[in-house]
Amino acid sequence: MSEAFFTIQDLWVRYVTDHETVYAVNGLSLSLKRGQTLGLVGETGAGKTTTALSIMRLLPPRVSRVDQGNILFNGVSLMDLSEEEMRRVRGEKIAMIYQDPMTSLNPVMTVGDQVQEVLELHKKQSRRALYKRVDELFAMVGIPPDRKKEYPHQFSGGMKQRIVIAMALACEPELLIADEPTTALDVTIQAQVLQMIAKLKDELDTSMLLITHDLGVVAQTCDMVAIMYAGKIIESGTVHDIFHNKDHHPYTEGLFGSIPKLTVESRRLSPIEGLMPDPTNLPDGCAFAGRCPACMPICMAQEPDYCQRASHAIKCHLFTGENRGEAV
Amino acid sequence: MTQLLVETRGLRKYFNTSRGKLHAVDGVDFSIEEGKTLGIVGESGCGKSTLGRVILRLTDATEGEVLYQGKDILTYGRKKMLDMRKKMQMIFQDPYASLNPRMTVSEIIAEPIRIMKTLEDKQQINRRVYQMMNVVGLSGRLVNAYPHELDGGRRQRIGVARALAVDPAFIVCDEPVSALDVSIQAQILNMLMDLQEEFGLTYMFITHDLSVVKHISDDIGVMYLGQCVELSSSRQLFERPLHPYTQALLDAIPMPDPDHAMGEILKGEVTSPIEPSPGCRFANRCKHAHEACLGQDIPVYQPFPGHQVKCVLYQEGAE
Amino acid sequence: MTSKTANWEFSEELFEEYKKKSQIAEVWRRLKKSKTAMLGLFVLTTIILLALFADLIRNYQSMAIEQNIMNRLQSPNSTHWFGTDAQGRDLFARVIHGARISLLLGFSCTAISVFVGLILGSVAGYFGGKIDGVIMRILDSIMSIPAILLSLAIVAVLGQSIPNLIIAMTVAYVPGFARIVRASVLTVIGNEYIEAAKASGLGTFRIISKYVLPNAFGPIIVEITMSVASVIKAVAGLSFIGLGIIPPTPEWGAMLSESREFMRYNPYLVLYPGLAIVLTSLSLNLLGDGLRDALDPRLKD
Repeated sequence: MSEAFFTIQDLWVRYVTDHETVYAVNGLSLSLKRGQTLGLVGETGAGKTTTALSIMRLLPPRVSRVDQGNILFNGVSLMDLSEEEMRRVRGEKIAMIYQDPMTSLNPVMTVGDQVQEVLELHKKQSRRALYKRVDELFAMVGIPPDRKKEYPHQFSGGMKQRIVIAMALACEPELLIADEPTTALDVTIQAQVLQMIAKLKDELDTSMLLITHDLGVVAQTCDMVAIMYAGKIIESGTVHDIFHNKDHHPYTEGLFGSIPKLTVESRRLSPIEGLMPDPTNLPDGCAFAGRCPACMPICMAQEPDYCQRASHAIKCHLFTGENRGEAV
Repeated sequence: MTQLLVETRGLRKYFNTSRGKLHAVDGVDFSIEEGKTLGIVGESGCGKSTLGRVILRLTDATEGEVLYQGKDILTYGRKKMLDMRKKMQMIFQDPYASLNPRMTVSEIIAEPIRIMKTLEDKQQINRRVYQMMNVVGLSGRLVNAYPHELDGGRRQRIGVARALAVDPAFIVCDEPVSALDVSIQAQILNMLMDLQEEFGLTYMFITHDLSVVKHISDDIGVMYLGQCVELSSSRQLFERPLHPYTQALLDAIPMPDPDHAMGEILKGEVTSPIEPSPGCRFANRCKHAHEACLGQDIPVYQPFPGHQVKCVLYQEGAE
Repeated sequence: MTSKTANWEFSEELFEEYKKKSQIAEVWRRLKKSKTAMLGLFVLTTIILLALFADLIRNYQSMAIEQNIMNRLQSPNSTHWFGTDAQGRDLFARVIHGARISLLLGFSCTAISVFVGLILGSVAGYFGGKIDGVIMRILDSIMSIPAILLSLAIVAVLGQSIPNLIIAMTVAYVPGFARIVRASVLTVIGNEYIEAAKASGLGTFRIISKYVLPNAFGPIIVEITMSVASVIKAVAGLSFIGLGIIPPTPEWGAMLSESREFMRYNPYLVLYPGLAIVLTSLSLNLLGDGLRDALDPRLKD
């Protein structure tokens, strides 16, 4: 296996307004190898989108503060790049797909022109080569190239998301960040789009950071999984670690208990009681302690370290120190 | 055999658009027994939300009957319908948009009580509001809070309390959990099931999420472009899906198991039900489609007891 | 079970506490927090008080109406605070007495046009379809005539008097309000809480008054505050061509137009009535902005 070409090291991001400080990302580290897909799983407010925006350096400038941390891409720190250099990275080396295909296309430009614009920005080439490439891209995402003269409103949601994907892949980026790319789509269309993303990723040898809350989507598309809670990664590993290993962070257990199973008959779900802690006022110790069914005194006082077992890491006191082995 | 509470017969709702009549709901028949849950599942644009609204008369039906305990409520006048609303309530999809931002929690829950005058005395109303908040697990200190101060899960609890306040027998739940995070979604689903047991409620549960619908429903109707293509008990539907669309839907769900390969993926997209030509509406995406599917409307077949399907594959004598 | 986990007793106290802290008190508490709104309220109250007690401060007949050619065009001094006009009348007296008519016109025209505009706009927006088409086309045709021409025609037909002036102004201002109300109503009725209200059995009138309009009120309040000043200016225009206020009745707009010949050498003649109009509209604007925020519970604290 190749070395990680993309790493985030100990990233801390907060949003500061006159009234409050929201601690969005609190010491997040992850790494991604070439060609792999990493699923970043978490609920609303876990800091998934903030992480993605930090990578793209698109955090809202006035209110956001990156206090600490580094993001390395092919050995270069994205934090040190000038705005000019960063603009070249965006779209060309790292591309992003947003959640809502309805609002991420310009309604007054034909879809062909929008794809073409991305190409023009990043690659100098002749008119003819440009047109040919646009046609190729449309064919690649399964849209007849003769529809490129149409406007976004003439396409369905799934089709629009295909166009967004065509734009993201136009320059064959090395890293694709997909922020809930299929959440707004119907299941049958979601299946089509996921299948297409997987196929294109293999063909172009692109790595992907897939942000989602859907464990099913993760299981079907990712190689690695990282589960986020209150701005931290609380468990990470390969898909098999997460979906087949016996030991889990109690939050991960809760997430699995919350989804109704199609294959098993169950009368009641076992949800996680309570709510996510207030990001303006995070508790000491483990952020999940207040909702955790296995909470111990130490959890309130001290933040747990990662317990690393081969590729599987769990940030929980149940698996570290003297508690090791007592786990449920 | 328990009693039928709600029944629809040949229910149709057409909308006029600039491109012709949109058949949002096109001849839907089903019945729900008292105390049971009918799940209605389908993708966006299949008419499932319109169906719920037509049944509650939030929008007028074009044709057909909605029977409540055997009486057609579509013929009711204003006064009688207001009485009916005590028995039939609705829980809405978006907990952010379904609560008036200028009313406090207690005002929102008390509103249906005041309108339908199930209680007159102010203190009795307050007591009822309190009781409802207790039932849905909202803390009493929130009586004077405004919806925007609360998170999605608590807001949806307000929506449930509002629906329950007039002590209804039948509740249409329109995607009540799809805007919520999974862990909150599970809390609300459990609560809805507890409430059903406690108060003997009958639900019509509209959703696009098959795993949710399987979990909560006794019977399931699958809708495609305004028509109910398959109707059976929940267990039968998942064990033996008959309609090719149902099969495709089940195959498309990503399973939370990396070893479980994705099934066959359905091609094409949902077309719009504007002036549809007769015949099976799924034919253009169906791998089994042949001439018999087009040209005439497909009747409902019942290849197994209690399992209805609108597909020529199950015609008498066919394999 | 859910109902067993939440374990607390019913008490009337929470509701009682709420009754004491009524809605109006709550809005007032939030309004007080805005310094600009309080400044606006202070200035506006001062102007209204001056108008109300104008008779106690300066005699209407002798100071504001009777001509006194001996004293004409005096610069501001200790007896005539704002100076005197070409007919030798005390400008201060005329400004505070003029406030009565200007404010009366400004507020009453606005109030009536808001009332009519609310009804027409919300009916058009809420019901849509043919009703909307008919109402809006009629209003559009009224709007296509310049407001001043329309008022002029109405005053010319009805005759020159203050009630007729109010009617003329109202007709000219209704379409603008109706448009804004309709637009805000349209953004609100898409929300599910309107449907929830229908499911609760609410009638149309109650839905519009309790669910639609309160949520559509923000832009309307701003328009109201702008409109008061605009009416005062429009009356000035009518007075200028002799169809507004009949001289020698003092009115701010009329005073502005009367002074146009002397503006070059006696700028205070336009300064004070002009300042009165500006202060009134500015204070209304500040108050309106604050009120809009105070009425919106989403912006609490």
